[in-house]
Amino acid sequence: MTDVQHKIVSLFGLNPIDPPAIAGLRPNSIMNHASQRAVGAAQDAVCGGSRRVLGTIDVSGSAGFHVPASGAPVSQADPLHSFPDREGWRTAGLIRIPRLTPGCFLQARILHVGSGQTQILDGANWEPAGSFGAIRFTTSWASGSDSDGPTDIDLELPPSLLADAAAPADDAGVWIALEVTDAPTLRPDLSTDALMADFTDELEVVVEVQYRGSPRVVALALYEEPLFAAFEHDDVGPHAINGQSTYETNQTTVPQETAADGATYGEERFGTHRMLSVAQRQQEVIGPVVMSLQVWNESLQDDNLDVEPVIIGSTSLVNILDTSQTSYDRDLPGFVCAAAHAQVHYLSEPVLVIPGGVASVVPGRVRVEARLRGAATAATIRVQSGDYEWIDIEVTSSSWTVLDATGYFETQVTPDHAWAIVQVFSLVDRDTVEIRSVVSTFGE
Amino acid sequence: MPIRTQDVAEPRSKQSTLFLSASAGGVWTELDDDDSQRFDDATSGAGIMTMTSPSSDRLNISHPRAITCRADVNSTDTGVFFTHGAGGNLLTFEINTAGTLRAVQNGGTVGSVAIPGLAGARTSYVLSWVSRANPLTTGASDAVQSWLLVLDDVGGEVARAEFFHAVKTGGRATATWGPFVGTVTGFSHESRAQSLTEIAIDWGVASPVAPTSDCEVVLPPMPVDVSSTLGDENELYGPAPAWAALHADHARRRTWSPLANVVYRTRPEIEENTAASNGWYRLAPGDDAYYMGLAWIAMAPVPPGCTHAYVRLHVQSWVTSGAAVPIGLRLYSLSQPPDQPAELAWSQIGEVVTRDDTASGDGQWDIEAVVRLSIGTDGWTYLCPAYAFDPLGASANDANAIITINALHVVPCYSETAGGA
Repeated sequence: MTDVQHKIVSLFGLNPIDPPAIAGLRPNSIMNHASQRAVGAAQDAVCGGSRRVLGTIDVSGSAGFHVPASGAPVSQADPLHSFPDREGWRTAGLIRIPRLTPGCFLQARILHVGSGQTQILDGANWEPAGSFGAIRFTTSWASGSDSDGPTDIDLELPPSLLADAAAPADDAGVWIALEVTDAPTLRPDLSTDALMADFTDELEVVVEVQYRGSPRVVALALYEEPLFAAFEHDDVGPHAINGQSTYETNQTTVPQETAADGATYGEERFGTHRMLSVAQRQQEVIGPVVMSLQVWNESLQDDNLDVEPVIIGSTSLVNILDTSQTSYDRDLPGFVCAAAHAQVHYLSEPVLVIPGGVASVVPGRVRVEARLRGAATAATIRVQSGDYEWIDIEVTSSSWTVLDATGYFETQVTPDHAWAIVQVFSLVDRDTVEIRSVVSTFGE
Repeated sequence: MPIRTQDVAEPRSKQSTLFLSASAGGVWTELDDDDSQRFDDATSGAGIMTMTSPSSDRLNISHPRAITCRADVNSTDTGVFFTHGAGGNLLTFEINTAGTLRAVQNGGTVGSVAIPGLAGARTSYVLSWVSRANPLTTGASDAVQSWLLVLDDVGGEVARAEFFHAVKTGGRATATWGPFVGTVTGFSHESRAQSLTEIAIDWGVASPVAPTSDCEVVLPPMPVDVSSTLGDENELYGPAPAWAALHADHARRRTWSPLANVVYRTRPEIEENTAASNGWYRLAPGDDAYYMGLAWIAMAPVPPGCTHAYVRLHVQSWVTSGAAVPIGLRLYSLSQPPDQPAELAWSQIGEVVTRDDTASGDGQWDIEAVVRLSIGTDGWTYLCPAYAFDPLGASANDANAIITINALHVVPCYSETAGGA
């Protein structure tokens, strides 16, 4: 036995991992430990079933694609640039997730129909370039001291088989033409022990979704899938315990009374105390995606440009998706904070903490990407989930900036609770503020 | 984990409560009675009350904590609600300038917020200073995240200010409440951060509507730590492995996220004949009246163990003239996109609504029921709203009816076995 031990949970689709694997699972299956045994044997047990949808880019109510539907092929004599550029990538959305569930990486599913026509710039003229559509996922990963990416994965979507690569127009035609395409697993570099240890813990990721040509995407769902978790320790101690916070330095002495012995690891994982400590930490950081707003708007999108941000020019708070709404109202459209399953009763236990079981709150984080335009010097973006709970983010930069804030969300008490509607408001002191994404997640 | 103490008359007393008192008339000899589980009273004086060390040591905490005061305040009142320490260790929670709530720590002002709705006559306010460890700290100067929270108990207005500061300094000192020109009707001091929702329900007039269904509450035990003391968020329940097993189940469930959580960016007006010969609409499977609109479709992998989901659809329905028309609304769960080679399984839930929201109205949340999920062999479900104008042929005004579909929620449900496993 070497002085480096691995406890590895590995699943289908990844590179072979160095043995020994103490807790290997059946391939091509989700993790399925008997929970007590799992936690008892390995205190860094990861969640067995997370398949959280982290972000979607879809037509969102628009019964039509922004890519031109049909028409005669563009002739060489036609000086108009009427179809999207076949060559350049353009950003459809930036999905920024502050924390993946430990052991999870990303997958994406695309619901689409055949791609449309494209053009290519030849000198000063736009020329026909056939039917073509592609999607690129550019991922950047960060955890602990390690980072990886950006890494591109490109996916070409099949062209429309209709005349002139048109979009289906017949009765139920778009339905009939639907195709489902899955992107390959998106994951960081896991080629060393240290990378495995870092990247299977609380992993921060940015996914840039780009379009090229004329893809006709009805819906794109980016989600996480539990695939792989690694634990490593050697004679100087543990390298990674999923969910353990770095400040818990007292763990090495309780309950183990002597230092770990590098050769035999009589009590490698420091016993009950660490198990409970890690479990508590997991309880505080693992949870649902509260909301994920990507601002792609199929009906307003320009064929050849990056995603159009939401632009707010009001000096008092307005709902960024409906500027006629100026104050919080749970009867109006909004997202839902559906964290009734979260069971964080030390904050929201509905009888003992909040009397009567009439309300519930969970800790959460808001991450937005925004910038000021014109002469604006300050803007506020407010994510409000109830009469008493909101989280404000102050925007002060005129370049695209990712901003985080923490606080509480009012959440449903039960899944059919009528409350906990989340609405996003914004104001700016002058001119405009532009907002590209708003993501709210459980845990700080 | 805070536990409401059952053997005291004061319902606000929880395990985390360090000091608690209330007096409807603002009488200091009543306010000095500690109704927390500690029953460790302060001593009232002329317009103030004090607590000396070591009793006051429990109030000498940096974070997490919540200092709350309920008071009748007008637009000119000033005074101190709570203070501890002196000089560079001074902590004060006060209205220093009329109309502004202020927080002082380590001898300097760290935050303030304007109190909304103040008038010449005194009205009741709930005022809180909540602190906790800053999850996004960058160093000692922003180690603590604080909010000043103001709830106008009469007008219902809410004000808050967020600020960041260093950890509280200072050792043993006398704690003092008051003097305050207005009338103080309650104090509390908690050893954990509280949300304004909790404070409002404890102290204010907030009366949220209870949910229509109940859920079994499973207490999440917290591990005992070497630094655990009475009142910490720690309590050990039973053998550790049993607790950890329970935790694992909770952890799995905590990742359940909405299957659809959409506010539609585009909300086209749908009329009786919109779906005819339109490639984006098709008749719902097994139905000849309801049309599914592809523009509203959502898809999601279903969390393992989830079989049902709660559905809400936000719809605006109106007529350009005549009587309101019944509108059928449904949410379909499909095992795959329809018109694919494999066999389609589907399930749906819906309702028929008859109302005229008017063209400028807001609409409302509809359906609000549980759908059984039809899950494909790949574990996915496809969720699509469907509509029908006058599905039962009860109206002669169908041609004048319009709807828009504004938002969709599909929230996974769970049923708990005894013990929440």
